[in-house]
Amino acid sequence: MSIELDRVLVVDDQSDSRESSSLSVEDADLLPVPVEGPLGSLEDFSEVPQDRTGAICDFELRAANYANFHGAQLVRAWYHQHLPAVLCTRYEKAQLDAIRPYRRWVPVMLTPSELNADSLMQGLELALGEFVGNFSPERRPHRALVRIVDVGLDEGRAFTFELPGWPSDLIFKYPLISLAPDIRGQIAPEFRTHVQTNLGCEVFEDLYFTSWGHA
Amino acid sequence: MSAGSQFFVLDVGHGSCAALVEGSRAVIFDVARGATLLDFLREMHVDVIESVVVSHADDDHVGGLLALLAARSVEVKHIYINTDADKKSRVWKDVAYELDDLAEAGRIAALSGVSKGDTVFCSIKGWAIEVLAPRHRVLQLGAGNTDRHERKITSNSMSIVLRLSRDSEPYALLTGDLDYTGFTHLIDGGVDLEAPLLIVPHHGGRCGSDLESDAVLAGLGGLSRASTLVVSHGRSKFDNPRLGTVESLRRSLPTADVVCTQMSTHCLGAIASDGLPTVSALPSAGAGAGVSCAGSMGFGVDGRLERAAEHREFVTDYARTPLCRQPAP
Repeated sequence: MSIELDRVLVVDDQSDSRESSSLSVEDADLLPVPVEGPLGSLEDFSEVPQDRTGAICDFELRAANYANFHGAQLVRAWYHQHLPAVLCTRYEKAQLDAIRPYRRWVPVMLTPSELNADSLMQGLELALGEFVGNFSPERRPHRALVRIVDVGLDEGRAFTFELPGWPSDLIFKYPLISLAPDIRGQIAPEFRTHVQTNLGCEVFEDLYFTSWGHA
Repeated sequence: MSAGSQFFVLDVGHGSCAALVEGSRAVIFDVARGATLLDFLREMHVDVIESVVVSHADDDHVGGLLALLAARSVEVKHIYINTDADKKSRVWKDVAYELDDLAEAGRIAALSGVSKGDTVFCSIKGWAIEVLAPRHRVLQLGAGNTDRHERKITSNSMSIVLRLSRDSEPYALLTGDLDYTGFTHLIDGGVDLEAPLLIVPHHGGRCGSDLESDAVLAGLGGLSRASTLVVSHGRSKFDNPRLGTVESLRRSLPTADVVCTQMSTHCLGAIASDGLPTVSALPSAGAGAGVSCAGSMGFGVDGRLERAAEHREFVTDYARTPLCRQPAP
């Protein structure tokens, strides 16, 4: 698939990061459009002219009131509007748990050191493919069984669960607030339900989970 | 009679999964975790699985059953799976509860155990499936018990062993994770194990102690007289196939072709970050990371690997110390 894009929005609350990401865009023979803040509301900002436009976006956007939403929310909003975007972040564990509820609509997540012309173009191409229903094996959604392991009692409650059909025994953490109210009340240890997940994914960080209880 | 159907062994990483396919129908043998089987079924346009046979309770043989049943992308009619009171894994518990839910909801036509002499439903023309193990006594004693010779019966001992025949000729022997105890019961009293294609037990790993493993592998080799030996393994686990496994098999079958789903660490120590190219055109778990060797494979009428020439070339180009080219000891 050839990508027909002219420009790439560069969204980051740090100006030096915008500059650095812009170099990768230029290396890909595209025009970088660094976006200076403040971005305004998510609803307003995500509605940008879409013709031949892609985007790179950082996760943390709150410094100096750059934005009052995070990058995964923005990439998801763009996904729904078929604007291809790559999330670029030096994610740590806590951020990973916050990003995961959005991963279905964040086809590619890169660290700054992984971002280059090739990875950028591959990421944008992946997103464009998904918009027309072409999923890579690592991103294709499958209905799958999950089993709840535990439910936290701390503020901002998260629950942990296992994905038995996936080739690993790792335990996932998920914010309870991300679930629809009807399923949220049922979450308890040993509860089993079904989700949509990219079961063919091999990398823990890239797994997404949606349609809890309604898959 | 069997024209239009084909047998496959899938690269599912560390685990097992084989499929017999004709048009939109399939019979599946073991279901490792992950999405490779789902991707394969989708690519082959399979929408009905007549039977799934799960050889035993290990996660790498049964864990994918949960994914298969949950996906709802194909109709599953019969499931053959034996009980195992000794298996304490969470996945096994999940399987038990999920199968029960589906059976209660009428979503599975039949759910049953199987032992030697039982029938596995298969309406694919020209094919027959014989159940050679476990013996009734092994099933009745169960995992965790001991046999008359005080040999421990494990989940592996209870592996369902199948022989597939094609147009009335033996075709493939599927051995699950058969161990020494299971093997002694399998051959006790005599059994015809001849088949040109042998799926090596336990992913090319141990079948017991060194001596026991040698007895099982050399025994299966000698009795099957196979010309193709398939090892379904994951490169990242256990350094399979063991050197001892290949040696034991080579002693009884010095000229058989050995084919692995993934590139063994014995054959190539380090793989460059961009991975190896793929031989297989089928969905393969190792393809993404570039660690497949033959990958997911289709077999011809004679039980030989379909893409044998491509595989040979691949091994020549990429394997530094290919086990499949080791001479017989």
